[in-house]
Amino acid sequence: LAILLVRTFIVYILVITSLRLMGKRQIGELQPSELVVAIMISDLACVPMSQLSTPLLYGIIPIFTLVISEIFLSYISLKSEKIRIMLNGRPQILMKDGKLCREEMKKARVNIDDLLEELRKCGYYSFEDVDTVVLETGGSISVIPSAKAEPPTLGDLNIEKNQVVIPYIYITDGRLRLREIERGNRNIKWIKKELRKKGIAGTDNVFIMLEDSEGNVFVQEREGGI
Amino acid sequence: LKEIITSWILLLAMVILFFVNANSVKTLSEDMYESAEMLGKSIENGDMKKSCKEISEIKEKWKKSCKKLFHIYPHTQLEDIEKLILMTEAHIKNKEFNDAALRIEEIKYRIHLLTDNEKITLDNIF
Repeated sequence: LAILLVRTFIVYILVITSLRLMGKRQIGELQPSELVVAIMISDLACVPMSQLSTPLLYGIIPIFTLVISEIFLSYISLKSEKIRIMLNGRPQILMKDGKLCREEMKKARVNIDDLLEELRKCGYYSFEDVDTVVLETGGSISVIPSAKAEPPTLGDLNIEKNQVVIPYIYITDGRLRLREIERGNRNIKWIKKELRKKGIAGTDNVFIMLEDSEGNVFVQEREGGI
Repeated sequence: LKEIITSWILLLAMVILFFVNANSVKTLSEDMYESAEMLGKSIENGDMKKSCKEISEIKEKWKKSCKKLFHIYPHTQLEDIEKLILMTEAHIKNKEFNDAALRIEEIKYRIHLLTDNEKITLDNIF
């Protein structure tokens, strides 16, 4: 049984390494070729993990072969549009200029109920609010609203606003994040000063401290949470 | 680019592994096959003493070979050969030379299969 434990651990590390090698795309939306690889890897990992009479190499070699093929294919498809279309297909336009493209819907085997459901998920309840619908290669649906349904932007209203940036998280769980402090052009002295202003003695008791793009500092102590 | 380089390294490592494995399996199986053939001749001649000595040598050789082969072949396939070796030994000890000769032929066939299945041929692929 100890062998099973060790084998499972090795296969787990192997699968994690494989997914990391294949990149972040694997974890989010999957392209058809990536979906195939993900399914095959999960199946291949199971056999040597549970069957002790099968050498571990019987799982390792096929998994690595799949990963290598996937990396090479994605590299080739990056360079060649033809290969990319062959592997992943093209995005299909299901609605154009506010009109449904029945032929494309038939080709994509998407019925009107599926389309309505997807539109509702995107926050559109009427076809009148939609100008273009695209079925992406990963299977998701993108919607371009019609001009009258598009919400006004700050630009349309001529309102000026500072660019929002990702907040700088200086402390999490009592630990200083030096890289973030450097990124936010701050130092430890400034952080301690800010904490003192809020009546906090040291960093150890801080659950989170962050600064947004407007310079507002948010601090929550460990004990202060719900 | 990092992933591409890693892939090339992995591919190269796998190719090297295949060649090293193929060579070591070939050497091991050839050695075993030769020993089995010699034992077959001794059994044919009815030389009990020599047969006993040779079967124990084969047993020892197989034990050593198995350690390497266990990483490459399904364990059941190797255990079958081990079982046949033990059966041959029992037959020799009981002076059942005909049965022992039969088992030796089976061992030779199974060892031949080990290397044969590793060859990249259409038959093996499909």
